Amino acid sequence: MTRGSGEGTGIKHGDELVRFVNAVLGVGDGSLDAARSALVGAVSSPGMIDAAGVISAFTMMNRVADCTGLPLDPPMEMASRALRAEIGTDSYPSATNTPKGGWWSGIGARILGWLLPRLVRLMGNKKG
Amino acid sequence: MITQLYQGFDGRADLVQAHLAAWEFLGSPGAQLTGAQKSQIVAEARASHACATCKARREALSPGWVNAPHESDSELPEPWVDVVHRIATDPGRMTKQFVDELAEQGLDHAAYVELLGTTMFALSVDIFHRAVGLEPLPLPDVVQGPPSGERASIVDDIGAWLPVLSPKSPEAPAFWKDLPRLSHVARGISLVPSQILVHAQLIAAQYVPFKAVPSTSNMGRALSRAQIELVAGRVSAISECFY
Repeated sequence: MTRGSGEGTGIKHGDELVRFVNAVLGVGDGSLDAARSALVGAVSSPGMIDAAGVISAFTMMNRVADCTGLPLDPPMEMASRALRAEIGTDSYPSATNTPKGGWWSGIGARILGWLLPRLVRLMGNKKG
Repeated sequence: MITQLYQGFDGRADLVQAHLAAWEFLGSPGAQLTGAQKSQIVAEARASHACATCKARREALSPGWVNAPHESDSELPEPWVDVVHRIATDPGRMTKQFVDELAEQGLDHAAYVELLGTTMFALSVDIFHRAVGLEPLPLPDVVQGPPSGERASIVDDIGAWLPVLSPKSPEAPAFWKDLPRLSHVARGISLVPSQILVHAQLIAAQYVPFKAVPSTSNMGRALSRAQIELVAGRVSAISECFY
């Protein structure tokens, strides 16, 4: 996902979804019309519209966070620590807005680091 | 009038309603901005995509190294134009120092929050139109009238650069009555409280309602929640948004 492909995510039609995001946001040289058609073929027109909505929502939410210096909510900071280390988001400039938690949150982070990937997999199997 | 632009659009009605409500808000008097100024901010957000200064700044190691005038499409003051263009094209490198310096120059925190809200609502609706292949909406119709001077009456410090509306303030229940827990992102632009409802309505229609964010429900969307989160994650990765 952070490398620009939906392959290997285990999520159905992940590649078409990621190509659509890239095309809408002008990343890479893919045509938007082609990416949209491919996505409609994969997830239907309502699915494409839902994806467009999520792109629009996160265009907005990312700016709320980055332009006001929002730190991660403390539970999310703890829950995402292992995942962030794995996918490299701790190197983003805005990561400095979130202070690292103390030793107790390190224990919680380890537990959640084990639990969360299993929960996400469960979500993926539930539908799609 | 602009509802006609959605004729033939086969998407959810709540999406159309949220976008039309946001567009009306963007032409209406705000807290410190007039409707005309907000409409011009929409024009600036659009102009930023073709702005050579913004392009050069994005490519520079530090955004502070590029200080040429922007390619503007309004009569807004240059410092405002700079803020709008930065929010639109290089949000990941905004800094507390920059925001504090704006306050020292007269653009206080509430005015900055309103510039931010106006810019991001415009971007959000425009990107949706581009994504689904609809023509962009015309600039918002301007509603005449003075700004209200609205600002949160009681504020909290949540560790962000700017104060946010406190749930203890008398106006807060009108905005957050349905939320069991207030996430930081739901509070980010609440220093100007009237922006909360527009933000929440857009998020609810485009993504899921704030109260459903911690769940695994897809809220009846055509995509699974895993697919929704993949799209969200990819957008955030492209803009290198840590949050």
